[in-house]
Amino acid sequence: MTIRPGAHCLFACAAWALRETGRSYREEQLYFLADGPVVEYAGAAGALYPPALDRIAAALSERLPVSVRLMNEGPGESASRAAAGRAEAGRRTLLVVDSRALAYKSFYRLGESRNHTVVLRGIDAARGAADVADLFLLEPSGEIGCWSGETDWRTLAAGVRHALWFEPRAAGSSSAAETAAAGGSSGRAGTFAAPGEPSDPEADMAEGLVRFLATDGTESRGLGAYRQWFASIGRQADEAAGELDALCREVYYRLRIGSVRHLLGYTKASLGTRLAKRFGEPLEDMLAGWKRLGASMYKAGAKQDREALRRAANAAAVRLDAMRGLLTAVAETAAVREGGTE
Amino acid sequence: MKDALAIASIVAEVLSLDREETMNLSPETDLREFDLNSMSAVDLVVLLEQRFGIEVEEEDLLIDRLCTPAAIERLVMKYKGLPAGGDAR
Repeated sequence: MTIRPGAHCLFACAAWALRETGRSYREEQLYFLADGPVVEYAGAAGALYPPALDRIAAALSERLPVSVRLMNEGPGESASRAAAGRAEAGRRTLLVVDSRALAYKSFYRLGESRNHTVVLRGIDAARGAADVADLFLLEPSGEIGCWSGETDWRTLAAGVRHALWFEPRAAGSSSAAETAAAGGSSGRAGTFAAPGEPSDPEADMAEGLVRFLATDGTESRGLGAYRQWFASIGRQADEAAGELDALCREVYYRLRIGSVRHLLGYTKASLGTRLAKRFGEPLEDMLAGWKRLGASMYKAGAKQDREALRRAANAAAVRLDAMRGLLTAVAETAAVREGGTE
Repeated sequence: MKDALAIASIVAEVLSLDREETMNLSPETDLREFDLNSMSAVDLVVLLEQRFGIEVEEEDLLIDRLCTPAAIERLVMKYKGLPAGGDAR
């Protein structure tokens, strides 16, 4: 099966691996089903993170008609061993790895350590070779491509942090619908598309946005996390003695990967024709605004300009309010289906 | 001409290229082919600001405003208040 570049390593790989179970979901759809927008703020580190993988796995398990298995690498369990066993049986497994263990590209090997997700789809134990698909290959030029081929298994295995995979739900197992209904987090619990039936990306996006918007005012999650994070950047502008450049690089990276830019891009990608006419351009404009703001923050670091970083952090708080307004309008309009009923 | 030389030096520095090689690039060469990315584009802006005493605004920080030698020259001229190609050549 051919591969093509995605917009985010985890969700692109998940969409591709999921097809093995006979289910077809778009990358952006899985992002919303997984509560991907609900980023988390770690107060001690003053940093923003994508949702924790165990939360993503739990959300997908609740909302997808498949079993979702997550295994960590560490004492008591070996994600790499489990993945190797599945690969020998020809089954796909998502591996979340230290990017420096990806020997097939020098910029991974020599670059900064980041979590990166690839799909392990085969293994040749005798030759120590792993067959890997990388669906979000961010080149140093900024161009996004993809890659598939063999890489050294021992090097890769040493960098494995988590493994995640999908399996058809066993007949008679407790249904995801029951779980979802009990949790009250999915209004469409029990309405899973059968294999081959089209699912509804726009509805999944709208429900994901509603859950995301409900996080405003909460501690350390979603919109609440963004508000805390930008406030902390303003404070760190004063405190980060001599480290302003590193702080701004990290802020730029976090705005680029797994936060507002993916939220807006995936929202736009989920729009059907009716909503795209009304919201496509405003979403694109807002995305461009966040790109410029990220560049401003990076520039503040490069110039060691603390005042510029403080100004940019304040501007981000204003942009968050505008984003909340736009996404609320998208979610509300999506909820009103053709014919005027919810 | 001296502005063009200064711009070439800065581009060469940011992209780790030879200055002579940079001078010989066509004005419409896409610098992304030489690994200009969104971050190095901002690094380029910072050096342009220092060299020319200008302050580039947020709207001009994205790579599509800086991805060719001609675009960079236009940007510098804009902030120096000169028409493109308006330096002492």
